[in-house]
Amino acid sequence: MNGAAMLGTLLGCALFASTALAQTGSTDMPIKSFTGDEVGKIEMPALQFKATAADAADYDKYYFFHRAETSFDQAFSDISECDALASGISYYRGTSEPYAGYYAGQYGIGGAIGGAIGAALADAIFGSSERRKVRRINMRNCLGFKGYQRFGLSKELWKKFNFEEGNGREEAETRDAMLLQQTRVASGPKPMQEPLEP
Amino acid sequence: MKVQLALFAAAVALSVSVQAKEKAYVFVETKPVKDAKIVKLEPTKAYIMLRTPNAMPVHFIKLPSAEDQVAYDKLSDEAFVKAQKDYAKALKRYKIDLATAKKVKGTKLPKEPVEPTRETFQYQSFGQVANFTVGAFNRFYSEKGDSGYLQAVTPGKYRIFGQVDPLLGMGVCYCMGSVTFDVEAGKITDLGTMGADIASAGQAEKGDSSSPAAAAYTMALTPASETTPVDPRIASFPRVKANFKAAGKSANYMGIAISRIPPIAGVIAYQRDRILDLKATAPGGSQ
Repeated sequence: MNGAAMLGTLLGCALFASTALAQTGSTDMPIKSFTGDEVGKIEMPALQFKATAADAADYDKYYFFHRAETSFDQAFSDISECDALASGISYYRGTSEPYAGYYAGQYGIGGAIGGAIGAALADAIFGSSERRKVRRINMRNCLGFKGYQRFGLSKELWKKFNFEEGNGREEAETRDAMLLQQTRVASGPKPMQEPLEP
Repeated sequence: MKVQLALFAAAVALSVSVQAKEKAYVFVETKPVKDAKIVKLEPTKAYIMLRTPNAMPVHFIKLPSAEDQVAYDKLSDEAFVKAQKDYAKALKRYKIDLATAKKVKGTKLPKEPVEPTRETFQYQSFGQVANFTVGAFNRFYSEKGDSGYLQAVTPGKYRIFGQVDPLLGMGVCYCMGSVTFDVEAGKITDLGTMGADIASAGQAEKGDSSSPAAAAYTMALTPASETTPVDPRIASFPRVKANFKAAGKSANYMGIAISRIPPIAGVIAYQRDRILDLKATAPGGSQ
């Protein structure tokens, strides 16, 4: 099974679970369990780089998260939840199109009427860059509440396992693969550098 | 015979007219009480009072009563039927477009529509159809650094969604923790006072464009107490302190900045992102 197929299988199972559990409206979703083999097949991104002043000046855009003593399964749950919240789930999809994210179900459903109008208005006023900024703020706030620390990264390394979303949405396969890589980092070895402000 | 036909036609027309004019179910009706010298509140209506340091919007979503749920389910069913009809039209159009595209070499093929099913069709959440916003306009009173909103609203149970006006699409949602409260007819439900959250107040570092300290900053809510000042114009109307209760997480369906209501003593606290219902765990509280 190649990497993409394996990811498809992993996320396919996850999506099924999401659909079934969404009916309950529960906010206490069971944590999806990954096998060691599944986790091992997810590429660990490179995090080592020689930081320059220019890198440090952009740490408000390029960073990763890590929490000590956190399992891959727990980190995947946390990152998925924050990704769904940060994305503004229903803003990016139609009312009859299911959101492809494991933990999306716990936050309910809906194609925003008032919200969509407001979001569209906000987009018209502030544009895609403001949306990208809100996503960064939301990931920081959400994972900060969960006790994750934030570490700076060079743009070059960051781009290999992160995505930005403004008015559009990254391709599902790409974003799912990157979320799994972010999970490996978040639950992986303690970073060498000092943490930033949450 | 002509008379009978005319009567029948009139009856049919009346029936159609009645059906067409069948009143849509209203989940929430709301109206701000304006700042006037003499204020007359109606004993059949329910009101909420909220004090803020300045003009700002606060959005509330209703939690469904049994009657609301029936009406909501009906709306959802109707939306599903419409989605199916739309799909049938889209499929017809798709087949025509596909046949046309296949005739011309190099033409991009149209995307096949996806049939909505009961499993995949998702109607907007209840909070999206049953909500109201207080502010930013129509303050009941305003002084320097102190203002208040008094607003009539349909009785029921509500959640504070966040500091946002949905029509503007900017603000902060309390998606990661908030409170609910009940509103009853014939009373002013006093929600207390919003003010700076001293615990998290602070400037973002210079150049930190994604700092939650600024963009996702939330106001602290201090529930009403015996010493909370009451505007003399409404002092004679029955007033109750809001019975706040910790509420879980909710969807960020406006796609705005996310945060949570700051802890409220005796009501809500947090352990990392876990929401602690302090009333449920307090001695004598329900488990």
